[in-house]
Order: sequence, then structure tokens, then C-alpha cells
Amino acid sequence: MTALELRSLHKRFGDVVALRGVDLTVESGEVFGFLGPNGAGKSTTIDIVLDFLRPTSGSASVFGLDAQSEAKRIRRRIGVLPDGYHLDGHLTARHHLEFAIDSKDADDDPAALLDRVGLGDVLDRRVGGFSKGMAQRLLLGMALAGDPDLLILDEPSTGLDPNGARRMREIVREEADRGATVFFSSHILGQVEAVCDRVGILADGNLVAVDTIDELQDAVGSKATMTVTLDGSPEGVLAEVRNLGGVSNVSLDGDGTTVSLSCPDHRKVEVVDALRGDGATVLDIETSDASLDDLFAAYTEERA
Amino acid sequence: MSWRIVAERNARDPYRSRSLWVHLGVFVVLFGVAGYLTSSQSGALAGALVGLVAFFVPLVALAVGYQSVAQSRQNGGLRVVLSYPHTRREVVVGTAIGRAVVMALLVTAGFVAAALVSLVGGGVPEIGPLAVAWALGVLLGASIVSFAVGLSASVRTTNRAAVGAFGTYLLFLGLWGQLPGLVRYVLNGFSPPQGPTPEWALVFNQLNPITAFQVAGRELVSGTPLPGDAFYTTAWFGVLVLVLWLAVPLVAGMERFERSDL
Repeated sequence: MTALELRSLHKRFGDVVALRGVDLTVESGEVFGFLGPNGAGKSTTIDIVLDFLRPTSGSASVFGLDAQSEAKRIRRRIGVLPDGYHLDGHLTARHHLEFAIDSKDADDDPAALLDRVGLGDVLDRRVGGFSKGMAQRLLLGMALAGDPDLLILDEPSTGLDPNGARRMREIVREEADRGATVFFSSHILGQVEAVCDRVGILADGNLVAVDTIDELQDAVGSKATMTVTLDGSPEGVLAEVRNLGGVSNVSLDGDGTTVSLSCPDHRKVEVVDALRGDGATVLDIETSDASLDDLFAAYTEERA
Repeated sequence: MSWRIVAERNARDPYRSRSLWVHLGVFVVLFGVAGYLTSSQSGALAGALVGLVAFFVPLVALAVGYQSVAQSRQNGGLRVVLSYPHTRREVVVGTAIGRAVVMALLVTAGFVAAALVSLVGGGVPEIGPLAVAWALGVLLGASIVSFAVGLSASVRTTNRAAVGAFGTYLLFLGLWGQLPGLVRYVLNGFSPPQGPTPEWALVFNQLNPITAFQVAGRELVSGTPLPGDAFYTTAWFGVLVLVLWLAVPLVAGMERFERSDL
């Protein structure tokens, strides 16, 4: 079953073209990461799916329902963490959660929802005093009401502290385990790679790539570099390191105790383990993650 | 029921905000003063309150309604509400109902305060006319709130809504009566028109919601209907005009809102 389908989606705001024909299919049960730099058109795409914006041409559908003509039926089945939102400061967290629960005709317990997003005892506090991260958690809790079939999260990690970001990832996994489809956008690669089955990359209104996370990392692996400093020479294990999948550009620097190499993120732990293989102690690790820019470069070069 | 959930949210939010308490205080004080001043004249309270409502309720109703949809559209509150199973039309209708309920409560508080003060001052509030004046006041309040919500739904920013609301108040309070004269002046080749006022101009005058309320109040509350037997000088025409103000601008605003990007 198809959870989300975009067909030749175009959107123009006056002279500005935001989307230039986006085609995308997200299957039911998938965790899909929607990546792109600020201004790429991610929020525009999501806003069309939510019927906040009307496409210039093309169509969007959710579970086979048209985003424009059947918005209400779609909203019954989805949980949304929108971007650019505003919470009514006079109302409490409970009021907001009850609004979500009543709107969905669900029977969730507001306190339990708040607990799930790690917001403990603020149930009866006005949201006017909430930090950005707390508001973000509250909205996620609201989105979970009624066990939606599809979660649409627009930049969910914005304003979250590391604990909040981890809780967010855990919830995405829990929801996926329950059978829900999760579609979320981000401009930071690190946030999606940990949880996503597939990733789509949007750049300047075009979907430049849709791939699994592994293929994506392989494509940009050469761009991610790691430098490891040990308390002794690692020459004995270098051959083993070189043989690890995805590892390249291995070189020995300085006084022979510092190794630099390129590898995909998910190989880093294996690399470090291998380097310690003959008893050496790791003194320092420096990494430079593959940035989205590198990612785009990798894909656009590939396309060129 | 979607409109109910939205209405509740709208009625509840201003309930907790400071401006509502200011409105409430002003209503209670002004209506209380009217009750005090008329307590020695029997039968004068209801008529006095009709005058007070005509001047004061439209102002407050515009204030209660003009920001509703536009502000929520501008700041992103709408993005939260519309993330849940509500249609845009339901949101506009629910907003209008929620704010109209707030307005009705304000009018009711004013009438109760006036009656209580009048009683304490030794007056005998006339229940029948007061009840009719109250009902008309609630209808006027609901009409103007509904108009203001329709206006708010048809513009993109609160600034435009504010300009629209202020312009509307000036129009209702004074300019309205000048419009037919202006049209006749232009039609007459930019020179002062001669002869009696044509009937369309008289009808137009009665389409002002404040005038409509006053005409209905004169007949139904004070028992002094306008002279003449033209249909447009009757209380029921006045009530009909108020109902039209309640429905038409709201539907127009709603349709515009329905078709636009948020």
C-alpha cells in the first residue's frame, strides 16, 4: 500500500519556483527521511500534502486520498508536527493535547502522551512559558494522539536538546514498529541516517536522489574523513583496516601513530575497533561528517 | 463535531487573555452607570441600553473578531489547528461561533450589571423590554463578530484586518448615511441633487447594521416605531438585515479563505 504519493508536483509563488516537478512514492510502513538545505522546498512539499498550500500543477495523495479534495479524511489518519507553528500561550499543555485527542476522536490519556515525549509534569502549565524544545515535544505528543497511520514531521529536531533528539528517534522507531509510516524532513544528515529506511534529497525544487541510507552513505563515503591518534604504531593492523568495506584513503601521518582514512559513518566503530586490535589505546578521534553539501555534490556529480 | 471543537478553542483562548477582562470590566461599568442613571425613571432602562449597545457593541465586536483568523494565519496557529481533522470552512465557522459566544457573554454581563444596579438604586427594571433589548444586543454583537471573522478570513495579515475593522467602524458609525448622497451627487453630474430622497437611498440607510438594530429596538423595546408603513422601516426588516450581516460576509470570507494559500 502506498502511504504518500507525489506526482509531478509543481509550485510557483509569483516569480519564484519552489517545486519543479517532484515525483515520490513512500510505501506504507517505511521511515522516510526528506533531506534538503533550507529553501530547497521541503516545507512547501509538506504544506501541499497538508493542504496548507495548493499546487500550481501535479498532485499529492495520502493513502490514495487526494490532498486537496479530501484533506479532512487525510487529517484523520495522519499525525503532524508542522513547521512554523504557533501554540496559544494562554492554553495549557492539557488543553492542547485535549484539542488533538478530541479532534481525532481518540481516547488517549493526555498525561501518557506527555510522558511519552518526556515532558513529565507540565500538563497544567500554560504553554506561553514553554521553550522551543518543550513546544516541539508537546506538538509531537499531540501528533501521536489516535495512533496515526502516517506521521509527518517537519524538521522535528529543531530546538531539541540531545536528550530530546534521542527521544524523538526512539519515538520514530516505536511508531514504525507499530506499523506506522513516518515521513520527516531535516536539513541535517545525521538526524535521518539513524532511523530512516530510505532518504529523498531535495535540492532547489528537484528531487535529486531517493535511496536507502546505505547506498547514500556509500555514495558519499569518500567525503567523510576520520583521524585517529593512538599511543603506538598501528602498522600491524592497517591491512585489516584497509580491508573493511567502504574504507579508503588510509594513510599514516605524523610520527606514525596517527591514521587518517575515509569511511562511511556506520563503519567508524569497526574501524576504531580494528585499530585497537593489537592493544593500542586510542588517544584522540577527529571526524568530519559528510555534509549535505558533500551529499549534493556526490549526487549532482553522479548525474552530470 | 469539528466546528464545536474549534469554537471551544476560540471561546476559551480569549477567556484567558487580558483584553477580555478589560472588555468585561468596561461593559459592567458602562451598563452599570446606565442602570444607575435611569433607576429613578421607571421604564427608561431598556431604551437607554439600546442606545448604549448601538454605540458600544459594534466597537467591541470588531475588536473581538478582527484578529481571529488573520492572526492565527500569520503566526502559524492555523497550521496546528488544520493539522487535525477540520476543514478550513469548519475552522472559520467555529471561530465565528466561539467569538460570538464570547460577545454574547459580554452583552449578558452588561445587562445583568445594569439591572442589578438599577434594582439597588430603587428602580424597577422592566423585564420584558430588557429581555428583548438583550436579545437584539446579542444578535447585533453576533452579526458584527461574524462580519469581523469573515473579514479576518479574507485577509493575509492582522494589519489589513485592523485597517478593515477600523474602516468598517467609521463606515457604520457615520459614513454610511453619506454614501447615498455622494452617489446622487456624482449621478447628478457633480452637483447637489434636487428633489426628495429616492427610495433606494432610504432602503440603503436601513441596511446599516447599527441603524437596523436601532430601528428594531425602537419598535420592539421602546414601542415607538418609525413613522410610515414602508417595509424597510419595520423591526422585522431590521432583524433580517442583522441576520444578513451575520451570514453574507462570513460566507464570502470563508470562500476566499478556502481558495487561498495559507
